[in-house]
Amino acid sequence: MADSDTADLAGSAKRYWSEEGYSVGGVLREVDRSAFTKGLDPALKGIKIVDCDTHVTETPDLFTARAPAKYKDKVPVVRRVNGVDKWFVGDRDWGSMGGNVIRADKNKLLGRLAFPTFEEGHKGAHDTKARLESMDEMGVYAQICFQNSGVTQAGSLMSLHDHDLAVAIIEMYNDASAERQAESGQRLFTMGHLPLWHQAAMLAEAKRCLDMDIKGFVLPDTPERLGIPSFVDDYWTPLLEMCEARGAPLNFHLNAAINPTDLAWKGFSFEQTLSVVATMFSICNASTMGNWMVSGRLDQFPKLKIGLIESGMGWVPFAIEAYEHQFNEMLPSKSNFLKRRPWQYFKDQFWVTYWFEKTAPKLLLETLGVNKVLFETDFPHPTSLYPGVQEHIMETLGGYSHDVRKRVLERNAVELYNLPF
Amino acid sequence: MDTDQADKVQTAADQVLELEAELEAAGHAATGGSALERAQAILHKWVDSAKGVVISPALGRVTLIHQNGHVSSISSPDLPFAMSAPAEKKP
Repeated sequence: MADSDTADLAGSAKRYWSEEGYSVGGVLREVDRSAFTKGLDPALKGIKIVDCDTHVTETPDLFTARAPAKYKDKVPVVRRVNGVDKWFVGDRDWGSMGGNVIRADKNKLLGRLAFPTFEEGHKGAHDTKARLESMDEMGVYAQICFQNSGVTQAGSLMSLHDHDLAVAIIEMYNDASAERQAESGQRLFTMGHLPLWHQAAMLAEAKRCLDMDIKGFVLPDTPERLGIPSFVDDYWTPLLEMCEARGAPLNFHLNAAINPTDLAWKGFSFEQTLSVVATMFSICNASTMGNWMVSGRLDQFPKLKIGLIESGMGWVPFAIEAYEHQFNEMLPSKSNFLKRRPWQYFKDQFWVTYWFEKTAPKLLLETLGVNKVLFETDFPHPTSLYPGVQEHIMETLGGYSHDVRKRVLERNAVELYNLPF
Repeated sequence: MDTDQADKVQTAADQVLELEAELEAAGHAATGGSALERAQAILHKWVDSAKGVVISPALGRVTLIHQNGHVSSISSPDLPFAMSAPAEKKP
């Protein structure tokens, strides 16, 4: 092959991994800190805002600091390669450290997923004290936190071909989450990860997490992609029973099952591609909602709580009405086990989040139900609301009563995640 | 292939065809005989022509990169794990 061909191939691989998103570049937006660090808007006094989708960057020593001696040189570590910090397990590239576009000086990087190195990003992405300070500035009392890197993704861990090590990595991640929750004074609640590939280990870790007060779990939309049984299989029944009995929500964060390379037109820049892909990751949570609605699992577990996270709310009425239509046209034969209708399933068992949207919270809140909508910022990701959290809340919820604002911003989250306030 | 395996193959092929029919697209299934042999031969040659591979076990996906820069994605619950070598200790 000619050198130019090799370069083209390397370019294709990099595009696939969005590697450009972690490279040097982008545009820095100067943030007027004085305007965005005033804390809670006076009109929201008495409301403890719960930000229901944020990301905590896994610290480089998260695993090495907790690993028993036999795993010290086997657990994930961070290495700097060509100026970019990445996770590695042994000689295996384990992916990026995740998105963080808030710079240490609190200005915001546009057009990239993160700064190339850990230190360039704002400490609030990983340090509890700095994060709480940022939350106070943004007027946010508590956060529901999710992973930032993919270091504990089940598929990656399964590819280690070392079950015990993979389970140990999950346990260390969850231990760190519980420690963070305590250290934060019950203000940072990180959702648990599970060894999905092994039923007994999954159940044991789920129980361990709930016993140490982890409030819920993150699951993939379609575990069969990884060779794990579908959610309709009895493999999952004990976990669903446990979560229902203990009131622990299942969280479906975006829908990463779709293939980004199939969505955006070839020839686009990274920024053009990601604009389309990020939007579709959100909207495609409609398939997650629909899979649960047509599965019969919600009839078996009528108290199960499902959070559709980082996926917005504007698409929800359309999707529910589409499923209502499908129930009429395609599913009459399943009425023996689908006892409710999509709108009822939604109102009984789903919650959704909004952040940048304006139209939906203004016009659709009562359509969806004021007790079904949560607020989020997606801090510190590229699409995060930062800066201007309070301004956006007042623009979207300013026309509602104090009671409605408190329900959307605080009580819905408290009830979904069983928060201690 | 025993009867049970043959049934599973046919069921899977039928499901693909049914879903494609929803888009008024006609797929053509080859599940045995010379049609399958021909398809396999072309597939082997096509796979051999790949000049790059991205293995993504986290996503259950393997992506082939061809000489002209085109990419082909294979969603599989097996392939990315079969292709993932155990991590070796970094010196």
